[in-house]
Amino acid sequence: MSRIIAKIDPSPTAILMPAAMILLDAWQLLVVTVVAAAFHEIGHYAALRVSRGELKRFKLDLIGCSIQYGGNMSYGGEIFTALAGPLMSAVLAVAAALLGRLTGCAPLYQLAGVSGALCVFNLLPCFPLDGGRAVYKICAYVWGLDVAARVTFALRCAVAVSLALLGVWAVLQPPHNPSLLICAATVIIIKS
Amino acid sequence: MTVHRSRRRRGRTAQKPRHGASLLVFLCGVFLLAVFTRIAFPTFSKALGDRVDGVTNYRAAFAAIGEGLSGEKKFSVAFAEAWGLAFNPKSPAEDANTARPTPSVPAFNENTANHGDDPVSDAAAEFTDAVAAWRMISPDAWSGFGLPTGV
Repeated sequence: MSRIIAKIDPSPTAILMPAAMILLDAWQLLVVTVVAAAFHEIGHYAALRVSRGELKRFKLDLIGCSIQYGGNMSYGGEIFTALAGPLMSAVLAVAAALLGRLTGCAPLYQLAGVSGALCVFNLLPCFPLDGGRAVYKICAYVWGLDVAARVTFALRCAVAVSLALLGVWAVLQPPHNPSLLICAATVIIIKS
Repeated sequence: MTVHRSRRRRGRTAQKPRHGASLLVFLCGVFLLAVFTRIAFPTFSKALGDRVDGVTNYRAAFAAIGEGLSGEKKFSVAFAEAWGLAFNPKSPAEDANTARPTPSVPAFNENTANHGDDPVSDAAAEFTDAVAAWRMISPDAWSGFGLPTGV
């Protein structure tokens, strides 16, 4: 456990989103988001251990958290590690939703929604998101690294342009919500 | 030459940790300020949150998706509701289905009768009440001690 903690690498900007959510009286949503993100990363870490990979760094920054890993892993192991996070998020979403229905506890519905959204967003075929990583590894296995790089670049552009067009549409009509544009910007600027 | 190179290296590496530390201190200060504002002025925080909810009500949107996943509603209906809440929300007072968080704890000596439509004047009134409470110039606070009011 102490070895894992030693590999956590928080960026100073990781504080900004929690600060904004606390200021906007959304502390409950913050707790739910942290729980959903934690389960997502636990899914990645568990798959990494099963695939005999090595955790190098657990990075926290403004847009979320990410795991950097290495080691001698097979293509199957890397694909499994990439998809384990969204899989864990999907399981948590369903479990929280069913538990919320049984108990009538509203925050559990929010946890289900946040976890589901995290699963869907991470499955976008856009490197370095989890879906993009899986696509890259599959293409690398089938066609080689050069083709994999071109395919993932094309997919990333397609996803960014689609989100940007949707975002512009959302901004142009009331109530002028910029969320999708922010998602498009995240997809463009996120580094591997 | 070796000494010159190592001096340069020392100068470069010394600047990076200082820059990172000062940024960390600044952002911790921002975080603590946000926490203080939320605790000391909950009405102001709530007003800010309601303004954001007027643009996009994420809390209710995520709760709607959760209801769809639980089977309580058809998923297509729940998704449409979530989309509407995220990109065309109703006001919080009208929407009975929003999963609002638990009511915030009122600040010490908060005057709940003063809530108007303008969050800025509410925040100013709340700040004034907080200052008055800290200075304990309220007559009720002193009446039990037998001291004259207005001291």
